[in-house]
Amino acid sequence: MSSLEKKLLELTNLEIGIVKPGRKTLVLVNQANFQVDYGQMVGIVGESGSGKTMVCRAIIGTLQRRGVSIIGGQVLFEGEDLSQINEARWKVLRGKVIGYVPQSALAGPNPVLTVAKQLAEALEQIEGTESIKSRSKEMLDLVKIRRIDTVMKQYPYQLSGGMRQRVMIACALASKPKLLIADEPTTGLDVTVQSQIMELLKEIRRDLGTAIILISHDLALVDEVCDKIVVMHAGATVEVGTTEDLSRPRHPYTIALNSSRIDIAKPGGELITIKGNPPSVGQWMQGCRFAERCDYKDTDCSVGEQPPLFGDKDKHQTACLHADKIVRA
Amino acid sequence: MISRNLSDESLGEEISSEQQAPNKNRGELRRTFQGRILRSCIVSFWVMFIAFSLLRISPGDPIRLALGTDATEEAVKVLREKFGLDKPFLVQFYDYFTGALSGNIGVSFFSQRQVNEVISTHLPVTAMIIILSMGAAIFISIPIALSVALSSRSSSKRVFGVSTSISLAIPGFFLALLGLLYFGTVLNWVPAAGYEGEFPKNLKYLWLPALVNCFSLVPILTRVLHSSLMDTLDEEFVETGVIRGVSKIKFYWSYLLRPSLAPTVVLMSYMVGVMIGGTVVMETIFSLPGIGRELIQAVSTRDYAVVQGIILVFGLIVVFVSFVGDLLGYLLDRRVTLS
Repeated sequence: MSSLEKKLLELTNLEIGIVKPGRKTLVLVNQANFQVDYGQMVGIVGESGSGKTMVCRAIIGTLQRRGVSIIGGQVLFEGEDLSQINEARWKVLRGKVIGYVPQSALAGPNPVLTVAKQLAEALEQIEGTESIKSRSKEMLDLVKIRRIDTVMKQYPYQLSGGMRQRVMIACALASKPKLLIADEPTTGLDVTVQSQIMELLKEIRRDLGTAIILISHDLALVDEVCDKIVVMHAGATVEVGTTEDLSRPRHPYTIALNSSRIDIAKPGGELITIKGNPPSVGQWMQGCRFAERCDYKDTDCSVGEQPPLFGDKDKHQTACLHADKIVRA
Repeated sequence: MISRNLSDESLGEEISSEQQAPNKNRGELRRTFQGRILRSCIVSFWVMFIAFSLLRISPGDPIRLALGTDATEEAVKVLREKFGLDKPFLVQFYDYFTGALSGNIGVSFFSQRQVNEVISTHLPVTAMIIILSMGAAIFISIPIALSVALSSRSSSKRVFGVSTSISLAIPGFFLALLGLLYFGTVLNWVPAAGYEGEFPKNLKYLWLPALVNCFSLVPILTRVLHSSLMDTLDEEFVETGVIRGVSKIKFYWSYLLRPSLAPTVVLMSYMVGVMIGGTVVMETIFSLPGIGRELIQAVSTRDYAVVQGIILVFGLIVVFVSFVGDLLGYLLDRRVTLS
């Protein structure tokens, strides 16, 4: 397969910001670069405020209603630039071709509608031969919910967090999307439920061939389930590569993230944290935005723009001027 | 495979703890109903008792007031016996209470009319004003609150805040007098006083008082609704609705209004109680034969039975309407708990 055929989504120098007339544009994300292949499971990792949620909102087309817009770059989805399309076209793509599982399982489903009604909302917009009811049951079965008839009649508040998230995934899958975006889908769920949801996502990817973007701040989790990892810091992608590539990180931020993982910490040993705080939006410094927190900082790090991703697309890419030096060290 | 087994096992657990939820809910709902009915009975009893005893504590003799200053001692005595006012307090209350249970809440000392009849002729006028003003207030408030909440311009919020403050600050009676002057004497749209007829005809007399009432309701309702709408807009499920691509009407109703309406509905049910009191002023200004005006008259003549009857009806209405309000809130949004 050539790279053109397998490419589902490609972000090129995506720039997101708040534009207000008469005021300086507030840039939230710039230099977001990565691509997602058909059926691939890609994890986006980063601290809060790194712009990962903004990136996924750009892909699902919900930036505008928050007064945020794409101010530069491209979001190519099957060759179509999502930053240029109008609301009518979004209505066709959003929630249909591109599915979305919201951040908080507890607040995602509409509290005043029963599970059956929510599924019906998602399903009634999609052509189908069977009745909505039987299709709903099919969807709930797909996400491994038992006692479907009972659950259908229930309101979200009667379900546990894990069940709610399963329902949300069922709704998102109703239209058999090509891409599913899951924005921290296990926030607020306990660890066993978390692993069930991850297992479910993996199965969906395997059985339906859906490409999945998994957003998380948990490198260990992403490491476990994804094929490819995108690391974001202060609104820019700093490292992109396969899970295997990222086990030998080259960007100081990824190295720091990796060494602060709780799952590999030695028992009784000290927990390693990344020093300092990520720079606030609108207060990005010159040059590399990680420089102030970086152990490998050099004089050329604090000049000019945020370094771009070096290396070939499809390969291990790193946005660090001194990556080679660091790896050798 | 191990993880699969693990997931299936704990999944079973997850569900088993939830499967009784609907049954549990139905049981809870029934218990709530029973509790509410019991509570209504208790409230009604106390309303009855308090009205009864307050009247008897307050100075003034209803019989002398009814008969006039030149009544003979003999006549006063006869009438006092006729109404049972010579008996001890608790006996009187017992008689009244047992009578009320069988639907007899006494006779007016003054006009000799059955209190039931007094209420059934005058209550509809008041009820009509309240229903009209509430209906109009809902009709006006929802679009205002919705459009202000959805507007991205900060100026619209400012205008909203100022205008609701202004309309809250204007006293209803002042507005009523202005309205009466303008619509009654300048435009001649409203008969300056009086009342006649059955339902469609009486609207001619009722629309202005209802409008004035509505004017003081709208700012309260819009403010409450607006603030819950703002809370709802921050919630993640609104985004779910956008992404799901539901129709506009469905989005406004199921994703914005329905999750936001419960506090407003509950507040409105409480406002009914306030408004029953408030219409007294309207009825006086517009000289409408409503129950509020009747109550004022009855108090000034110490017409015990009428006052007690009207207060009891007020109490029953407040209890009933607030229950309906809570229930409606619950039906709109199941997260609301019925106490």
